[in-house]
Amino acid sequence: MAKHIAKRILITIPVLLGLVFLVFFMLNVVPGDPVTVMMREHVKEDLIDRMRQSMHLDDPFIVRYFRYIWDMLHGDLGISWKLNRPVTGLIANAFPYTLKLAVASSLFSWIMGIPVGIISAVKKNSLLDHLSMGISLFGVSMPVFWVALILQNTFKNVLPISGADSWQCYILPTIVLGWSSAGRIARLTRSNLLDVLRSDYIRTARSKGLSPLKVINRHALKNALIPVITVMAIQISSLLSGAAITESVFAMPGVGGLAVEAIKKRDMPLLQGTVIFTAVLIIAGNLLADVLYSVIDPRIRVE
Amino acid sequence: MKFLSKDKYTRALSEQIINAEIQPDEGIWMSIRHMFRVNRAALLGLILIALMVLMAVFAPLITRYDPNEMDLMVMNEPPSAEHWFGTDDLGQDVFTRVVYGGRISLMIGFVPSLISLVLGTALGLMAGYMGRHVDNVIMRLADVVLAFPSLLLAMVVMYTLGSSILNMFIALSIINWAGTARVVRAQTLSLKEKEFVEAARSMGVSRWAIAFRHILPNCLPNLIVLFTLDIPAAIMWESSMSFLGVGDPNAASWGLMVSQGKDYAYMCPWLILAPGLAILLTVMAFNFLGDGLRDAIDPYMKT
Amino acid sequence: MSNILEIKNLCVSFASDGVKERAMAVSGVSLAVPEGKTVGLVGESGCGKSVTSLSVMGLLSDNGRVESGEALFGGQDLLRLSDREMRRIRGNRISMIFQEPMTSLNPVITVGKQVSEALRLHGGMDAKAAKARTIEIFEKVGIPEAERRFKSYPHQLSGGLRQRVMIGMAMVMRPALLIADEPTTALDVSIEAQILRLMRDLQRDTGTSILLITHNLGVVAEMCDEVYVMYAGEVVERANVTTLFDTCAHPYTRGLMASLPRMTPKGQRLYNIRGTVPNLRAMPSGCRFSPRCEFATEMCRGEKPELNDLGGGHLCRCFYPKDDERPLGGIDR
Repeated sequence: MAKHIAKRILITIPVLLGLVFLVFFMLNVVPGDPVTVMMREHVKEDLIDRMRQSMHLDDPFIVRYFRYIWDMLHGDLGISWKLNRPVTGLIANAFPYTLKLAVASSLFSWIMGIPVGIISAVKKNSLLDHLSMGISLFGVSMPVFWVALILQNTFKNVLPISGADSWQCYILPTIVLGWSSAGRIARLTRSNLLDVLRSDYIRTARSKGLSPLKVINRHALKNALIPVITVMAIQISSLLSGAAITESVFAMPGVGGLAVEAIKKRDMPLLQGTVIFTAVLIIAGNLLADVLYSVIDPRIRVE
Repeated sequence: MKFLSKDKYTRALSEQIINAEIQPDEGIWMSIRHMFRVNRAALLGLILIALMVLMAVFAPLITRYDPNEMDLMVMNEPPSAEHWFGTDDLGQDVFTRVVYGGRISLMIGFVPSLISLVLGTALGLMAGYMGRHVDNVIMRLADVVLAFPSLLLAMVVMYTLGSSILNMFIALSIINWAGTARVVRAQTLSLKEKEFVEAARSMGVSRWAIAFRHILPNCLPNLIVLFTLDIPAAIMWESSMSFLGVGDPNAASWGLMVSQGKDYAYMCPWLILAPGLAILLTVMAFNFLGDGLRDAIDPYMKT
Repeated sequence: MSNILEIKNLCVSFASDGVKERAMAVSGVSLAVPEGKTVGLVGESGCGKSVTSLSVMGLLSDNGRVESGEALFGGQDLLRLSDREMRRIRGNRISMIFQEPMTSLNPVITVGKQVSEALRLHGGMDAKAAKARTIEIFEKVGIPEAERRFKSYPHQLSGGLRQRVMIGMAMVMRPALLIADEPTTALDVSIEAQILRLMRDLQRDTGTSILLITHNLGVVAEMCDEVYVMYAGEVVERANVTTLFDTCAHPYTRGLMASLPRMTPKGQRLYNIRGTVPNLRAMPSGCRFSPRCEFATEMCRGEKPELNDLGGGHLCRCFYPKDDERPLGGIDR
C-alpha cells in the first residue's frame, strides 16, 4: 500500500507544476505594466526603470517562472502591489479564518447530510425521503451568494452578519457554505446505500436472520460510506472556492475574500498567491482522500 | 448526483467505458424515451427548460416594458398587478429584467457548453487517435484543468482577458472542455481496437471517416449527459462571478441583478428573490434532466 | 415419511416501473421436500424457480409480492409469519446458498466474521466460542489453513473457496432445510464436482434436506432424489429422478433431456427447443408451452392442461404425455 500512496503522490507533482504554470502564464501575459499599476501616475522615468529591474520584469518569461517556483518553495509568493506587503504574510493572516469556516461547514454538512441520507435510503419513497431529497436538491441548485444574502437579511437583527470577531459571526457563513455540501452528501449517501441494499451480500445477510437494523448497521453502512469519504476532498475544493463568495458577502477576512479583492483591485501577485495556495490545498485534499480511501477499503488495502 | 465533481465523474465514466464489453446501442434512445415516461422530474425539467427558452426568445411579446426603460415615478415598488415582480431603484420593471436576463443567462449556459463540447470532442478524438505525445499533452492539461477549482480558474481567465461577455464564454469553455475530452478519449480508445473499426480500416476507410461514422455516434449519449450537466454549472459560475463583480458589467444576467439588488435587499427583497429564483429554477431543471439522462444511459455502460 | 417443507399453490407477482399490471412470476406452484432428501427444481432462467425459493425465505425484493398460497415448515406457514418470527428461522432452521459466491459475500467484512455472525445470533455464542466453531466448520467444508482464512476478505479467496465459505455459513447452525440456488453455476466444472460432493457429505452427516435449484440436469442426476420441472411459473412435471431420466413425459422435459450432449447419439445434431420463454405479461392461453411445443394441437392452444398423475407420483401437465408414436424432432426440423 505504501507503493500505492507513493504512486499517488508522484502523479500529483506534474499536476501541481502544470497548475502553477497555467496560473503564472495567464497572469503574466496580462497587458499593462505592473509598475504603472503600483505607482499610478506622475512618477519619474528612472524610478520606473529601477522598479522594473528590481522586479526582474525584463527577464524572459521562463526565467521568471522558475524564479517564482524557486521563491515559492522558499515560502515567498511575492509582494502585493496594492497592499505593499508580502503575499505569504497576507495569506497566513487570512487562512485561519477560512480554515475555521471550512471545518465548521464540513462538520455541519456531515451532521446534516449523512443521517438524512441514511434515513431517506432506509425509508425509500416515504414522505420523509421525498421531502429531504427535495430540500437537498434545492440546496444543490441554489447559488451560494443568494442563500447568503437571504440569510443575511432574514437574521439581520438576531445574528452578526459581517466580520469574524466572535463565534456567532461564523453561524450564518457556516450554514451558507455547508448547505449545498449537506445536500450533496445526503444524496450521495442515499444513492450509495440504496445500491448496497440491492446487492447480493445484503440478501445473504438477511438470509442469516439478521434484523433490518443489524443488516444496515453491520453490512450496509460501511460499504455505503466508503465512497462518501472521497467527498471530503471535493468538499474542501467546493468549500474553498465557495468561501470566496461567502467571505465576501459576510465581509470575513479570509483567503477567498482576499482573492476577490485582488481581482477587483487588479493585484496580480496577491491573486496569483491566493489562487495557487488554494489550488495546492485542494490537490492535497484530493490526495488525502485517495490515501484515506485505500486505508479504509480492504479491497485496495491488501493489494 | 452520484458524483460530486466533474473530475471524479468523468474519470469513473472513462474507466467504465474502457472496461465495458458492450458498447451502447440504439436501445439507449428507447430507454431515454422510457425514462421520460417514468421519471417525472426529468420530464418536468425538460418542460421547464423549454418554457425558459421560449420566454427568452419571445421576451418582447411577454412583457410590455423595456428592460432598460427607467421610470422614476415607480422606484423600488413592491410587486403589483402593474409590475409583477416590483421595480428596482431605477424604476425598471423587475419581471421584464428577469425575462431579458434569461436571454443572457441561458446564452451563458448554452454557448460555452457548446464550445467546450466541440473543443473537448476534437481534443479527445485527437488524444485517443494520435496517442503518445499528443495524448500525453492533452490529457495532462485536462488533468490540471479538472484539478483546479473551476470558479478560481474562470476568475483568473477573466482577470487576464478582462470583463466582457465574450471573455466569459472563453473562461467557461476553458474550464469545461476537459471532462468532455476525457470521456471522448476513453470511447475512442475502447472502440479503436474493436473488430468493426478494424474491418472498416482494412477496407481503406480513412481514419477521420471512421471517427465520424463509428466513434462519434457511440460517444453521443455520454456527450448529451455532459452537455446537459455543463449548462447549469456554467449558469452558476457566471452568476457567481457577476455577483462578485468579475463578470461583464453591461450584461444584465440574473447574477448581476442579484448583485445590483443586494444593497436594497432588506427593504425590497423582490430585487434579489426574483432573479435568484430564476437561477434556482433553471439550474434545477437542467439537473433533473441531466440526472435522468445519466440514469437512463447508465445500464448500457455496465459490463 | 413426512415432508420438511410443503409449498401449496404459491402465486408471486412483480411490479415494474411504469407498468400498471403486475407480472405473475409464479402461478400456483406446489411442491414438497421430504425429510432428509434432496429435491431438484429445474427450469430455464426466468421460469420462477428462484422466486419460489426467495418467497419461502421471505427475501423477495421490494417489488415482489406473494399473492396466495402457503409454505408449511414444521407446522408453521412461513408465508404468514411475522418478520421477527421469520428471522428466527432464517439462517437457523432454513438457510440458503446463492449462485454468485463473489457478490454474495460482503467485500469489506472478513469471511470468518461473516460466518460467526450466524452463530452469535442464533446460537447465543460469544465472540471467542463463535470463532472456534467457525474455524471448525471451515475445516469441515474443506478450507485449508482455516485459522488463517478466518481473517481473509472474500476477494482474497478463489471462487471455490468462497462457495465453501457460503456453504459453511449456511450449514453452521445445522439447518433442517438448505435451499441451494444454482450453487455451482458460477464455478469451473472440476470445482463443481468438489462442491457437490461436499454438499452430499454434509447432508449425510447432518440429515439436512436440500432444495436444489438448478438449470443443469447433470447436477440433478448426481444430487437429487426427486425433481420438479418448472416452465413459465408453473410446475410442468414431477417425478423421482430415475423415472424422470428413464421416461420423462412432458415435451418440455423431453426437450431439455434431448438438448443434453451426452443424451444424443454421436454425430447427431444437438436438439434445441425452438422459440423463447413467453413474456410473463402475455401468457399464451391454453398450455403455456404450446407455442414452442412440436406436438401442440388445437386443444393445447385453447385449453389449459392440469397436472395429472401418471401413476406412482409421476405428475405431468400435458394432454399427450409421453407419446412415443411421435418422436421428438419428427416435425419441422
